[in-house]
Amino acid sequence: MNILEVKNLYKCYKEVIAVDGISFSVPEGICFGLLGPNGAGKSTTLEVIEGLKKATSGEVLYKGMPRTAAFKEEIGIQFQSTALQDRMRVKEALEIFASFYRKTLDLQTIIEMCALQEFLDRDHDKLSGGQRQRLLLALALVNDPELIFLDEPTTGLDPQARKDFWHLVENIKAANKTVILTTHYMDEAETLCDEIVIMNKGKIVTQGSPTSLLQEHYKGVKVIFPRSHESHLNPKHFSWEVMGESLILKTENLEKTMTALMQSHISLQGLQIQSYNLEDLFIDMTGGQLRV
Amino acid sequence: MKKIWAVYLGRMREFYRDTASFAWTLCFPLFIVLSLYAIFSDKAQIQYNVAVISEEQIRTLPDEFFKLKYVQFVDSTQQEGMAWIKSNRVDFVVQVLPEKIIYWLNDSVPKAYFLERLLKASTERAVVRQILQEKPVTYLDWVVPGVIAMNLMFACFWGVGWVIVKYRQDGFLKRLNGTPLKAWQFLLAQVLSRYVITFFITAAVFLGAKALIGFEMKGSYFALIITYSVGTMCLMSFGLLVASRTTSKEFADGILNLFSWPMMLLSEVWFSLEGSSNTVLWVSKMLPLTHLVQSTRAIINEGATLIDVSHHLLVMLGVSLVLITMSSVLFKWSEK
Repeated sequence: MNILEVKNLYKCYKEVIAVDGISFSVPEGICFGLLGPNGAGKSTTLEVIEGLKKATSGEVLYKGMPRTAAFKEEIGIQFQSTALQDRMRVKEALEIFASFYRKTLDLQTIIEMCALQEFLDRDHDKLSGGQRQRLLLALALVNDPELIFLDEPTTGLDPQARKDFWHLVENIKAANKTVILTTHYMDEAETLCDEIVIMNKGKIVTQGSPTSLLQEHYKGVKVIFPRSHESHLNPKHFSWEVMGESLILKTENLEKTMTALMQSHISLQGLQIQSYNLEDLFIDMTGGQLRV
Repeated sequence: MKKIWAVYLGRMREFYRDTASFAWTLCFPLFIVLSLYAIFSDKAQIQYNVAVISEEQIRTLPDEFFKLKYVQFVDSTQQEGMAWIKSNRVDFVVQVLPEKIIYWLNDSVPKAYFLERLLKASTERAVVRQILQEKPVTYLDWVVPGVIAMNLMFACFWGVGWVIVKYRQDGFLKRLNGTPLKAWQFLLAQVLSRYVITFFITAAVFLGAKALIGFEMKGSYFALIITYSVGTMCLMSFGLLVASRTTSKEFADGILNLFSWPMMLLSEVWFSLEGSSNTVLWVSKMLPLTHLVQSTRAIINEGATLIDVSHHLLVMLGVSLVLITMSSVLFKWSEK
């Protein structure tokens, strides 16, 4: 069953079309990724779905029905950046946000789930980046929501903090909650998302599960050499791309390519073989490099 | 040097591209200068204020006294004259009759002493001296209600208006909009918390000033609390209106200054506008702080009742109603 359906959604500002007639549906209990470069319309789409902005036209259905006032009781939101009131402590923030909802989780459960125990009495503005994001996630979970929106939740976090955050999201998924995630990190999307949509310039350019999309768009692998080997490659036998200090040979038949390379007496020193990943798909679909 | 220049240029661009702040910075000082000019240009030298009760127009009276320079003569009824001298708005009251002049003064007021000597020396008519035995209202007694009201204005403007704009700019309002919290619930909470804070601050300032200066509270505390409460609501409604859509703290600062400075100058916080031009007096009556200052001053200095100040209360309630309605219609959680 689809928990959310977006039908032909438009959001226009004075001279800008931020969201240009997109449609997608989100099955219950999955992590759904909304990917795209800056300015693609991801956050606007989320805010229209969340009810924070009005759509110019189009329809958003929650559990098959138009959203009502009760919708906000059943969703949790973590924005890209959220300020809380000055000098508010972590526990106070949880208590205040809990007071907004009719149904709430036991605060102790949330505190343990998001590992907030150590800094409950600390001012929120004295938290580290990772601690702060865990607090903001806890605020999004305080009402035990069925649908959780996470808008670039790990931007600016160190690798360990990102991994910790992913673990929290995995736990949320395990509790059969639906997560809608926007991110710039393709490894994050590949790890967490069951289905993704890639947006560019307000439109959806592709959608599906990461695995099916990669299978659909790519066959074979990439063979990567140091650029110093370029003079040994014969253009009659090979075609390659230069990316920084590396050469990239795209092949659908790895064995045949490797044989040809060895027959050309090219050193295999520094050679890497890589599968295509979401970052390749992202760049190919959005027509440029990752605009972070 | 290159780095300093680059940073300098960046800051300059930031400043002039914020057109609202730029215009404000340019226009506000000019506005203040023009306001001061309007208030003081025709009475900068006037040192003495005299209320005149007469059937004839003051300038047609033959006595030399009424032709003195640097004395501001104001038409009044006997009732007004008595009230004004008690509240320190005038220094001297004279009633001109065909055969004599009756005058009232507080004999402990230095200006009244000089005016009495001048009157006796510059009229042919008989003079009758009337002493007001009541303790005169000193300038300190007079100014305290003004200072308290001004403090209340700042607390309401910045405590409600600026803080909500800050919440909006920081994204806190947007986060709250993602919860079931309604706008009116949020605004009511802000208003209530600010009311409680200002109540205790005002009470502390009032009681502290009373203990230090020892001014007399002539009216009832109940009337004073009701009047301050209505005034607080009225001033907070200005803050709410500014906060309803403004998205920049700097711009909110400018707008709040735009409201607060004219009120400081034209609401008789520091000095009486008696004798000012009709335009200045008209503008003053349009400002809610004037009504708060005049009503609380009447209660504290003159012992006025709620009925006596009811016209001020009605004006403040009316302004509150209009501004709160506008604020609730215009309010937006976030920028777009």
